[in-house]
Amino acid sequence: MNKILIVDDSSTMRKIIMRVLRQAGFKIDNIVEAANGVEGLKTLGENPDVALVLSDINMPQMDGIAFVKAVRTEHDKETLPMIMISTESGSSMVESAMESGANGYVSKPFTPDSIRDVLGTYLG
Amino acid sequence: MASSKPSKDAPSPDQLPSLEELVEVLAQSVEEVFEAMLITITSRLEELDVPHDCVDEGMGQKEEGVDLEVEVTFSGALGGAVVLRCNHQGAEDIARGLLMMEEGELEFEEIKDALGECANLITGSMKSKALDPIADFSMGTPHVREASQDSRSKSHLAFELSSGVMSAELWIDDCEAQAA
Repeated sequence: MNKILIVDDSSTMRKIIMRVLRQAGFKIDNIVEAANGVEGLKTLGENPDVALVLSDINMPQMDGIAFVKAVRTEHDKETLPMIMISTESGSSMVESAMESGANGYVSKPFTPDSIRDVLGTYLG
Repeated sequence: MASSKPSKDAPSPDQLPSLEELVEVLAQSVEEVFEAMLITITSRLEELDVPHDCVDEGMGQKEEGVDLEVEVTFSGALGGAVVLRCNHQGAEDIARGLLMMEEGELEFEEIKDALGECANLITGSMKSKALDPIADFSMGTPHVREASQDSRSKSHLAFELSSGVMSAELWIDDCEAQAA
């Protein structure tokens, strides 16, 4: 069972991500959503079977970098795959996210192929 | 935001892109994002003054609906904002493209959110191409609001979409003239 947590303050982007994941052929049995890092931590706590996290970087309340750090340290989930989704590819924010423990990133706007390339390692 | 790597050195003024170069990159970013998000650009317009022109240029009686604008700021060695303005039909065109909803009712909040995400994508693309290679820049989150009648201005980046229109403006801080 592949449960994915999508963390993004834009409901539009969350819908786009879900659509692209299905178009990319991933078997998504269950998708849970959160609008920022604070909600993401709460949702993660309520769904311990999340197999992968897709998170935006630039979010209000708690950004993606702080969210990754919190997941790795406070929630003790060091091996949970966390992929950042951002318009800011190549920027220092993406570098910071990777240094904080993210496993990879996908640049917006993305296609089913770009998602497949990054997520194929983690999901069947 | 913590980073163990040193930030890039502050660029000299001649390393910063000119206004014209940024506007060109902004235009490329609009076209690339719209193509990726399946939003149809019917034509480029010479100029457009949203929302004023939508009534004056005989685009039909202004239907019930709200014209919107969205601003995304950026800051760093250069600061400013990208502002997209749409009539309500243009905002709906953008939302339908992003959400891949050719038919069906769209909630106003869905339209606003989609417009915000569109501006986020466009500004991020412009920043990645023209600003990030030079220095450290950051982006704000999109602010969507009703298009202001008082602050409307001419824009040289104007697009006709499937049903509506959109203008894209680039504002640079401490710049005497509006960029576009």
